Amino acid sequence: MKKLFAALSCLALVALAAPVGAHHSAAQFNFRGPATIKGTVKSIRPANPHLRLVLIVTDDKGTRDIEYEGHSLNNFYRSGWRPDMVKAGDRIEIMIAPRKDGADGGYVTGVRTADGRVFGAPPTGGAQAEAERSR
Amino acid sequence: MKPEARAKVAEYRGLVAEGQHAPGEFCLGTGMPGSMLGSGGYPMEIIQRPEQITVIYEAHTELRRIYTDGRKVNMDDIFPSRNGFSLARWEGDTLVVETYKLKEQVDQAAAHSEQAHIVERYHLIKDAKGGKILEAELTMTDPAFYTAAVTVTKRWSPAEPGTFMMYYECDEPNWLDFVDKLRDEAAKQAPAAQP
Repeated sequence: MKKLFAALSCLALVALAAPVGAHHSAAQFNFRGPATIKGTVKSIRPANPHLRLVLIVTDDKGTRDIEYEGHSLNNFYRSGWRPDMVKAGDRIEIMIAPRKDGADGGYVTGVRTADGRVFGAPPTGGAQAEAERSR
Repeated sequence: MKPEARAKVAEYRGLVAEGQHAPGEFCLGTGMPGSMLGSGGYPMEIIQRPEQITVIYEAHTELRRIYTDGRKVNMDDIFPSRNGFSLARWEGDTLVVETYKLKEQVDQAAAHSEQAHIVERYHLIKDAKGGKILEAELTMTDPAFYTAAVTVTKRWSPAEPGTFMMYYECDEPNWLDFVDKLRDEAAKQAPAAQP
């Protein structure tokens, strides 16, 4: 048997593909027009293929619970998310691709935690946000 | 692609277009050859034993087994599957993998019939910095769906140090939602029992 692949055995290889899972109906979200939302975490359920986050949001329409989907647990882990970084009761900012129909909700692509750590796309762009990004 | 095949693909795409549905929604992997051509940005793990190479894709925990022990198989005895039945041999420094017994699939970009046969040729090359790259030439022959063989070249680089494969039980959210629903129904049926 050839030893050619011996060094690669058990190595993880990375294939290139789109960041949003192909199985998801991405058509309902506007990824070209991201928005930042602030709110208090009511519940968070990290999972594959998608995160589910419920935020208590107060804006000019009043105060209400809004449910968001987001990147997979594995994707967020690889952009720095670790257990207990986001918990119920935390004040956080999220970067979302809003719903195209204008309704509440959206697809979470990044989070700034209560203590300023960022994983995924920074909710507010720029060098400061990049510098805060945890590894 | 032949007209009959085009019609089948168009019918499927018409059905799933509005909801952008795809097998991954049901935690189902892509199937060959698509599974080797891209996996949503998730890593893939190759485990090599003398008699078998096992490929585990993190996405959907899809996997392929490639038999390298020279076994003789009567393919008529094998049921078709989404990743098919793969036998491989070495030709010098190139691993040649032949895959048979694929199910007909129109639910992937590389649609194919049950007659599809895929040959992959894997070898290692170096990138500009002298690092290892795995390169494969995939050729699919399918007289039912295509008028000619289709060839694609694919490359992979080793994952960044510290990357490890994670679990991906994507049916778990559905299961948890189902249990929540049972809980809600139980609460509705027994309001007097609440403290």
